Amino acid sequence: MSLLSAKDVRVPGRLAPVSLELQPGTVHALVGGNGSGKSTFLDCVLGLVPFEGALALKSPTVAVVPQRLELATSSPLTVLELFGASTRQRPSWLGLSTAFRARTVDALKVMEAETSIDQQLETLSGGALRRVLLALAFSAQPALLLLDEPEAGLDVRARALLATQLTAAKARGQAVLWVSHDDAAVTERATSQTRLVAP
Amino acid sequence: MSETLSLAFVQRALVAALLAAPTLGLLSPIVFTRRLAFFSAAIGQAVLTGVSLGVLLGEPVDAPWASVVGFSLLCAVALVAFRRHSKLPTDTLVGVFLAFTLGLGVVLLVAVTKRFNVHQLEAAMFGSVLTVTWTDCAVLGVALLGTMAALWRFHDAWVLDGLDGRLAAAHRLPSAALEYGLAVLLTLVIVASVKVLGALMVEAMLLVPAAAGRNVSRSLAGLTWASVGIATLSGAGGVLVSARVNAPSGAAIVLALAACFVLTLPAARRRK
Repeated sequence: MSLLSAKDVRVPGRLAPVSLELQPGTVHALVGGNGSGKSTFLDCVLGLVPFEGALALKSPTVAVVPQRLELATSSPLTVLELFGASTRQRPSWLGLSTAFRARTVDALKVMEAETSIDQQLETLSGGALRRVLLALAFSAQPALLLLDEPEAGLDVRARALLATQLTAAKARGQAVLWVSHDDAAVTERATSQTRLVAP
Repeated sequence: MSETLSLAFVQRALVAALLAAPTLGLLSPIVFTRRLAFFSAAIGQAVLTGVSLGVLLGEPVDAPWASVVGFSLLCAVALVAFRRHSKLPTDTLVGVFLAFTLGLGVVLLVAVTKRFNVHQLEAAMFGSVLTVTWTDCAVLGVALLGTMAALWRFHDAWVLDGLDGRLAAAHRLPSAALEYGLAVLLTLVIVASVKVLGALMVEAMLLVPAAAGRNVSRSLAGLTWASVGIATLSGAGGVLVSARVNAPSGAAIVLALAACFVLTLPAARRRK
């Protein structure tokens, strides 16, 4: 059963028709140059942009790693509070339990980002924030992972950690949609790919 | 001071301030992080226009609540609807609404002053400790409890939705419902607080506590508690000063808030 199925999904002026099927345990690369509509396709999958064509999201759980956060600079939100808000157990301003903190440290360890747990998102470098967002996405263990240029800003060590996590995700039966402009980065790890052309 | 506190109207105003201030202080970080300061100003303006509208429609000059609540909610929902469906920047849209409500408010105010003394509307504009009743206190108590319940249920969803639309969408958060719900909650709290703070001053209580709290906090939890503390301190202090010097309570509270902001600025510099 495919977790994501797209047939001729297009957004006039922003995204040329895209068709793809995403099966569990696969990494599908969506490759294209600047302005080809890669991020727009992710927005279509997430229901943020109206589109033409047919798109069926059958995955029960989805996690996304966006290229950047929209409002991080105005918020003092810490990494721990981001994890708290994402799990929505209770308002983070009432305090998060020691057990939750321990779980968050474990989650951050997969991207070696545990030392940033009490840092505010706005103080993190681009690469450090990307590590945190990847750790957040992997920790949710969703059936479908949407990664928007996940290697951008990552150093060599973080790229290696990402590769390890992608292999583990495939082994767990998770599906990954990996958006990238970099052919070389995805070729060795993707099980299939779709090339986008500018609309 | 004890003489001031022995006055029944001061006691009522103090209770009202101690209920309104933490309510607005709790919401202030959400307004701050979601950049809704301008939105709050527009709703405060709409409240004033609603007061004039209510008086013109025959409601009591000291309690035109049906028009105030109706017009303010209409403006809040319309603002959110325009924001969600327009490609114009949010500040431009809110500016248009501000201009509209200001223009309408002035026209209505002029019409109202032909039938009533404009000083009767001063309480609605700037807040007054003299006009607060125990019923107002009860309404503010309900507003505080309602706000706490809403924050218990939706706080983190509002945070995540405000932080990034894609993260929120992946968590299947109902973004539209969250935004409309927050707008309605803010509007009802603003309306409930008008007696103490005044329509033109209430926006400050939704922005400055978090702005000052941001100067001294290093987390969202820290910001929230700092905001509640600053709002409560300023609210109570402002009411007492207002009663002592016979100044509008809203203006006195805003001055206290401004003092808190200035006093916390050095901490912000150290944080950098």
